[in-house]
Amino acid sequence: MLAYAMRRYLVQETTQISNVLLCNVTSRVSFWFVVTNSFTNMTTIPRNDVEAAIRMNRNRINNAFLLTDDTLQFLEISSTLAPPAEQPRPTWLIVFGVILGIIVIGIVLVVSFGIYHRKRYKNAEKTEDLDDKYEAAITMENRIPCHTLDLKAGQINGVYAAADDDRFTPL
Amino acid sequence: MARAGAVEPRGGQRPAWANKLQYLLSCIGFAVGLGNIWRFPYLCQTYGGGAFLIPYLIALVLEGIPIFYIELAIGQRLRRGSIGVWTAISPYLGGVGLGCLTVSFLVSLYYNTVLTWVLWYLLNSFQYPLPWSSCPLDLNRTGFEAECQASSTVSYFWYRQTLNITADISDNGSIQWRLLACLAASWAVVYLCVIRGIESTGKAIYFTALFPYLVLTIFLIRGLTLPGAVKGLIYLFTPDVQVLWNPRVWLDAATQIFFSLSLALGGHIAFASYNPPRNNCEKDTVTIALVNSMTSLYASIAVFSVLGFKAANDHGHCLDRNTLHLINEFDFPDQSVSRGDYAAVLAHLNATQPERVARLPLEACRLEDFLDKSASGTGLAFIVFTEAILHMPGAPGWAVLFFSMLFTLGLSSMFGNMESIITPLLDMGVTHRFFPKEALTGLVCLLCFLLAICFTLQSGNYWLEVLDSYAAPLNLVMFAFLEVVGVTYVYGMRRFSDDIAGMTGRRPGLFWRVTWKAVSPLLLLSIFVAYIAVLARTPLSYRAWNTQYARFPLRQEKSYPGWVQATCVLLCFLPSLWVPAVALGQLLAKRRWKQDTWQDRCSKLQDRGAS
Repeated sequence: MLAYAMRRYLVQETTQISNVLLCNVTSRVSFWFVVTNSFTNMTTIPRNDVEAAIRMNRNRINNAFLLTDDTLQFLEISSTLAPPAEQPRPTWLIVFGVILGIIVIGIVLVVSFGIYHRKRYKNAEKTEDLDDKYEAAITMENRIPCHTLDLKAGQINGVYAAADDDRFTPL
Repeated sequence: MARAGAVEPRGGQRPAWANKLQYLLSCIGFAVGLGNIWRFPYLCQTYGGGAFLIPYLIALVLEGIPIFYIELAIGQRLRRGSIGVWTAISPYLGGVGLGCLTVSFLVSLYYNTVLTWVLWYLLNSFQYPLPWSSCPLDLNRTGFEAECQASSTVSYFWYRQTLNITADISDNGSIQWRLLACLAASWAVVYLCVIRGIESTGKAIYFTALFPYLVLTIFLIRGLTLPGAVKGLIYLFTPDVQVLWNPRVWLDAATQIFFSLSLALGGHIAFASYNPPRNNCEKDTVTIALVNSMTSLYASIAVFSVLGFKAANDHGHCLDRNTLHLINEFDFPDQSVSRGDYAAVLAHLNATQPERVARLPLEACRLEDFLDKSASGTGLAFIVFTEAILHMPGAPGWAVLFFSMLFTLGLSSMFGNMESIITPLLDMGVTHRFFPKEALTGLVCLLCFLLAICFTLQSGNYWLEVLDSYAAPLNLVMFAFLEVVGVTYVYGMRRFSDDIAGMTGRRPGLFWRVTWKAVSPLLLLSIFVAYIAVLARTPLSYRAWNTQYARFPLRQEKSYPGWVQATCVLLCFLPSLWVPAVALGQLLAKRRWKQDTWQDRCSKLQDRGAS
């Protein structure tokens, strides 16, 4: 894998697996490595080049081992992070627009209903005034037109008629 | 008596509640607010868990309920808003009403700004993954933003992407247009609901007052089933009776009851003034006060279970980090040490190779430490709770539920605040009778919106804390004291008892008379003095979010600049100045009237003598 990475980076087809030297291998699968120049087997390729190569091909290396950046760690090579999922348009603006639209429509409805209600009430008042004037032509006694009252016979108060005679002190 | 049938300044009938339920829900909605969710649980947690209930209940019975009863009774009897009521009791006390109006106005300004923040979070909850779940990347995409990395994703979202806060209160910064848009939306919602007074709020209150209970129940059920919740509940409710010796606990309990019931703002007087004259306000008082306290308890159970879950979660992550250190150092196989084994493995290693263990940067992971992390106010809602929600399956749904609950809770309290401003204005007859009520409400909302724009500046949060800490508390305690004394001594206990007998069917019992005449005024006076003592001793400082601070992400303690300190002091007592101002004005007006009539009489006598 490392040889492959170096090959890709240096655009040299000559780096072989034998150019990658391992040391300090532990049972928890960690090791130190150096990569030698394929032309002159003695010199090693500088660290920056190796780092850059690994950074470029990190994904490939991870996938080969079915590991991730968290589980396959190259010391002192920080992984390039994927940016967090960005929405194509801000969601909050959409919801905000919906809510504000509903509120504005609500306010307009309530205000116009109030104006309409007030106009109708004013008209109703006007017609009531006319009725009053018409009624004033008829003589009124306690809002009852006089001609309906039977003034000769008088009114009988049912309370006294229904009461027991015993309640009243006899003369 | 003439007052019962007092003429409405705008003509026509006084508006009335459509039914009793609307009135009860409005009062409950006004009393139950954001403080029930994020202040009461914090006080419980800080002051010894269940032991806090003792001073809380004592304050409720001796101070909260009596003052509340006075407000409802006097509003219902005199059928006026706060200004009208106090002017009717005595012209010299009219300043109390004006002061209540001023404080209500200031409270509306910053209360709705909090609702703006809640609305912003609500709008951002409709996406997966939630925007506060991950940090944005830095410039060369190899790591996260430094500020976010140093603090946490939720803190970063709150301080940077929401508030875009500056490091100092005198550094105003620019207006955040996102917050401005949300501010306009929340004032528009308030306007839509308050547009026709109790006619419109009466309909809206069915939803805004009942929906929070539904969501609280859902959260309670979900919270209790989360891992670690029950342990958190037990720990946080376990009473620590020693804490009762601290006088600060009693002061905080008394002030909590006071602000929880939203007393002395004039809102309850306004609501009660729309009642029919014969209504049992004694039963209403006890009902509403008990519902308010029960809600606080209910909410704190839900909050504590979620906090317990979060603490268990954080504890687990702490153990995981330590385990990783151990595995890396001692070359153990991956995932060979589970969370349960950690303690045993650590003990073994400490016994066999203590030097190597000592070199490791191991954190002390104790569950109690995580449970003790308390937060109140915006810190609880926007930092602690949002982080807890991130770990719940189905996070966006829970976020939407949580923030819509907060929004409706705050909205129903705003109804009371707006009514306490608009009802006295209408009663005073500031506008012509043909000036529509909708227009007056609109003007008030517009004025509040324009003034609240200053909270959308980058330093807005600091200013909000100033207003929250200094504008309301002292003034309200003073007004409540004057209310109790005014009704009991100036209006007269006998006249008040007759009124109550007329409204509820029987005279107030011994308990009420004793609390009104002696206990409540004394309690209020002692709260007032204690509050001033506490304020005088604490330096006027605030905690700033400063990225350059050496101990970032801890907030830097800075003292207010001189002019801000002057503002704080002014806010503390300026609204109360209405009381002596109006009393003095009345005195001067009366003396001038006496002088004028005396001069009139003299000149009339002279004329008669001359003729």
